[in-house]
Amino acid sequence: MVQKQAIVTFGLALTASAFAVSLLGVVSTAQSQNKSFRRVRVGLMPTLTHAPAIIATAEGKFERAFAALGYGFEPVILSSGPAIMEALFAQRVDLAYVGPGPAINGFVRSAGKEVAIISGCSANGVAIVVRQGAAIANAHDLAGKRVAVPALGNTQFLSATAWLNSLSKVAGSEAATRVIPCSSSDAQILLKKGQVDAAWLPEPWPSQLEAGGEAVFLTEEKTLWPEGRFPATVVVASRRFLDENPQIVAEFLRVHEETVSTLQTEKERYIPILAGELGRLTKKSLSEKVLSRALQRIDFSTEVMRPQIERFYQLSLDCGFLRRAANVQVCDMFAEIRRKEDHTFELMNVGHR
Amino acid sequence: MEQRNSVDREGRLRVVALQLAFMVVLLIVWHAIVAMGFVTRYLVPSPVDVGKAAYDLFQSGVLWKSVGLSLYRMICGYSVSLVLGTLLGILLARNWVAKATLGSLVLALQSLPSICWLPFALLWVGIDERAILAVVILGATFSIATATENAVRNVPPIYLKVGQVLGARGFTFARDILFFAALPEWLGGMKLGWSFAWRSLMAAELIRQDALGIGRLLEIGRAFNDVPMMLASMVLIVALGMAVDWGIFGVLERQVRRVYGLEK
Repeated sequence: MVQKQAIVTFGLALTASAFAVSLLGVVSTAQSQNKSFRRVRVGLMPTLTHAPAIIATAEGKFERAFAALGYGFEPVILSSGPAIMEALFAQRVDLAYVGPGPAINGFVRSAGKEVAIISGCSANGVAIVVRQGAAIANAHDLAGKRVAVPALGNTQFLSATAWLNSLSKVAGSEAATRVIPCSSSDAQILLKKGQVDAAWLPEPWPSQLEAGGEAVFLTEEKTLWPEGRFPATVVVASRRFLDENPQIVAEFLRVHEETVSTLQTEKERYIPILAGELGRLTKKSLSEKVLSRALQRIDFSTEVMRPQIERFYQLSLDCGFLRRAANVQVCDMFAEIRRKEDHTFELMNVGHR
Repeated sequence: MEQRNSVDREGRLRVVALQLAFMVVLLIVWHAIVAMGFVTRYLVPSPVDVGKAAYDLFQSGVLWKSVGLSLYRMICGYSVSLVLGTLLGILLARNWVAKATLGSLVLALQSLPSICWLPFALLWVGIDERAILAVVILGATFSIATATENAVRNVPPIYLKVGQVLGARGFTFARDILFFAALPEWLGGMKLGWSFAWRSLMAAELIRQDALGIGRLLEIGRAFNDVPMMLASMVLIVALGMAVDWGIFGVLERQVRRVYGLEK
């Protein structure tokens, strides 16, 4: 009798636990299935390499374009690339501006099921600044130094780790180098206190640190690339959203491309609006002089730069941040939308060509 | 008497067997739910994926380095809190001036989760080991102090009187009377302090980003969208916490209860 009761209790406990596990799964997969009024959610970060997204949002371009298709628009402002990929996984954003590092990560981790790169946004625009008196004359002197980057697992984290690893291999010493993720204001404090020797940051933060006298310009990241040019920000889409809504994505890309090309040709014109928006989003006042200087280092372009993105993938593997997965080919990451003759849209994987 | 003991042992064995069976079946059910495709694989990985992630961490040596560093921080920080907390507790229990002044301060500080100190610690001592140690020490000291104070206060007055009548004074009094009378409750305070320190350490490691540690493994997993690694580090945190709870404090408590005749 007692045993029978025990078995029943055991079964009940098990059912409850199984229920909890499945609940977890359901919660994580079935959210945001709101069918009523649908908003297109675009993830972006308040940095200058995301300027096209900031401008198109501030000028209401996205809002108007999506409204014409009967959809709303919601900008989702996040502080780092990994946070944006997290939001994409959680189906909190449909389209996003993000660095290539987290984009590749999200693509590989989800076995190619979540993320597609659909356009470029900006090239270069990442600079290395050093503490005054740090005895660093060129990028090779960074061996053994502590370097601040914006976030754990973001693109600069990857670049800096890969660069420092390559240096310590050359020097043959154990990598005493350290890459320290911290916010740009923490980087300022740490540089001042001498607890980091350099900061590897996207614009406008290096220019801001230079202008404030906290740091001295060392070099731009592009000088470390054989091509002299690399992607700082790309545009990604949730794979599901892309498959279901090629028309919305095509419209989004039209606005995106338009904004990128006007920004690239008339950078100075957009300085006031960028100063206002970045100031509002980051609660830091940025002078127009700093922004003007920072913008000179960025090349806004929709070019996807596949070879460089594949190199980023290789760096992720080399640093041990990713493992090569048999079922994932990085060339599947690139997608393109074509308007067909009958005005419907066709989604193409362009990686194999 | 002998028979009671063997019955007890049998009962305990049965409990352990039941616990094990429950865990195993739970793992199988978890695996089945994932394998049958009810959930998105990379968001809710199977126990096998988690095991693989743990094995990878183990193979690359990151696991041992992280466990070692975290335990090292715990041992350093906790030893300091144990000494500080105990001294502070005794002072509060035995001295009314200290109680009236420091007492309220200790109470106030105890209600502040120690991780709230981290931003200050970063500013004052900078991003190095000292910031984490500071958070661990602040996390445990006040709860140990409060528990020690209660332990000393709750010693039945008759013990103290008898001790005094028998001529125990000063250090002898503290060692032979106070210590033994307060030991069971003090041990409870030590255990509480350890769990506070453990929570503080995990929180500090999650936030601070320039050194390894088990908490940091979780954050690394998160930054690289590596859910199996996140779950593996969570399992590790649970396993270590339970190992200390059962392996050290559990054994100590049982020993004390036995000595005090509360358990056979």
